[in-house]
Amino acid sequence: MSNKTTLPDRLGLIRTAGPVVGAAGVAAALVLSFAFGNRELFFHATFYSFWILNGLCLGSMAFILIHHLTAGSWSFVAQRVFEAFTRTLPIPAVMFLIVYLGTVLGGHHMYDAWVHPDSHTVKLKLEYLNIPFWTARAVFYFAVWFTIIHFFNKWSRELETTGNALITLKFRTWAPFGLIAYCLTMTFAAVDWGQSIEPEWFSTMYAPLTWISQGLTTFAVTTLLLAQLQHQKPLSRYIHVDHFHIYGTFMCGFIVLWTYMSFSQFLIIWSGNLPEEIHYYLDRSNNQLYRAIILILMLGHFLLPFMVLLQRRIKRNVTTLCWVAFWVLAMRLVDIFFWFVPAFHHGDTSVPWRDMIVYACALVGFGGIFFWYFLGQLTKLPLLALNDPRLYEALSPGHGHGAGEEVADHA
Amino acid sequence: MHDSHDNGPKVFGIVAEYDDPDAVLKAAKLAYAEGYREMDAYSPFPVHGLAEALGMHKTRLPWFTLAAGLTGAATGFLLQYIGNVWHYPYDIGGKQVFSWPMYLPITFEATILFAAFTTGFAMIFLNGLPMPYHAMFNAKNFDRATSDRFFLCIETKDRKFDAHKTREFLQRLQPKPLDVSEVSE
Repeated sequence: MSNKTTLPDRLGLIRTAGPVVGAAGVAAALVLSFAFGNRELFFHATFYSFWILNGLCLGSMAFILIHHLTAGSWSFVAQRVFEAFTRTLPIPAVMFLIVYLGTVLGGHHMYDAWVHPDSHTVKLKLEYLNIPFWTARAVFYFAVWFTIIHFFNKWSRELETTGNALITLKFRTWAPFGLIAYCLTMTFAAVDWGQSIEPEWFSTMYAPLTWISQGLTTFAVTTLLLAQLQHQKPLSRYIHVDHFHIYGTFMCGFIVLWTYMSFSQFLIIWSGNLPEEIHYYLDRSNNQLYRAIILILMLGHFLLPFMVLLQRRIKRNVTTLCWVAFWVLAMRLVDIFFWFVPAFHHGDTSVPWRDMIVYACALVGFGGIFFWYFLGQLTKLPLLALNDPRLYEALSPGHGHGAGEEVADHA
Repeated sequence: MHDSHDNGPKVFGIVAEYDDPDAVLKAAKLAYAEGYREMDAYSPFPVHGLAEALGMHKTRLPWFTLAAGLTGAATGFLLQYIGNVWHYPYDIGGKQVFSWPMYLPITFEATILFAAFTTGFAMIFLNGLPMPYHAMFNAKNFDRATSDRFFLCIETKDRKFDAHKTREFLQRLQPKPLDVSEVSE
């Protein structure tokens, strides 16, 4: 058995171009933010890209843990993609370090609301929100994630090389603890890094929205990757149009969850209309761009993909499903923009056009580096865990996923 | 063409019996390729791909769901609109009388309620249920269709049906059926 995966042409191109595009994008973001006379812009843009790429790594980590709990057919076909994403966590970690050095230590204004507090409400929260404790927590979160990722990847590699099926027992024993650790650390990380930009404001939906967003982004990207990888051995022998159907259904479900959480957060704050909460939505509707984004999210992040993904024939056609996944991914980028940019421009009603340009450069740049690293990791193991005894049960025809009978169509 | 049986009971169709899900799937594909359309298969569990092999590609069910969902949305929204804006316009927390974001949860619930019930009942209706009598119960061995036998029945209402040719076609199928017999109406 060959121990390597070769990349199909399109992914090979991304890997080759990744470092160049990455360096160019990051350099452009840096130069532009200096040219616009606002160095903070670069750190904001790095934070924005960090949030999205970190979400891909941690969403994948959560799915790996769920995979080892359930051993489902849908997760077997994407297991290697998820694993490779978790091993890409060093890239977001470096990005986090850049943001940390630039803002928290560099004295820029991203976390100014609690670094230099002037409101009484925030001053009451300083026992939790202070730089030493905040830093220690960040180190702790990354330590937990790197530990989980290290062991689940190590065991996976051992299973691949030794074929010792008993290793799957380790997966099963530790996956539930890993999942609990993910939920807890991600909750506090989301509050520390995202919600504390506006420390007066609070929402219990913030952490669940972060998990769901990470899951949705991961499903969209994984769908696109599986469409590229489906003809590579040994994946090609097992992957089936049913699997794409499942990913379409998952995206639909996560879109509904996202809508449910985003909307209930809005409805509660809007109907309560309390001063410490309502400014979140006032800041997010004070210029034409934000009002347009609200409309785009309602129609484009919920109504359109929801209606489209209810249809069976769209989910069972890989080409149409990929277009939907692209669209969902684009909406995720808009949604995260909407989470943070109005917070960075607290009280400012002008449209942040310059931000959008710098953010786009940074995202392409860091994204290029991220995917270059990710694709390198992806080639290290075969695309299916053929030594996992649970694979054959999960992919057997009795479970309604007969291999080879029906081939994914490319209409 | 089923008039050829003048004296006996009316014929519903000709049925082939199998003890293997793959065999009945193959038989269904061959029968479809031969041009038969009015046919059905009976199995103890869902056989993957069998519905497609029998030519059941489309269902009208989603249209029922869509229509009911839109009706539900309109009902839920108007219910609140009429109550809050026409009949009892009330100032609650200084909000506008027409505070539509507040209506969305109930609009959503009503959409799901109408759509789900309609889908369930429309599915039963489109399946022709309840059906107290079906000719297939006259087929030989048919009580085993719920445990270990698989049946493919080509019905007399098919345009291509011919008592002799259809029987011969089923008998010559590979893999060979355990039995081929006539089912009376």
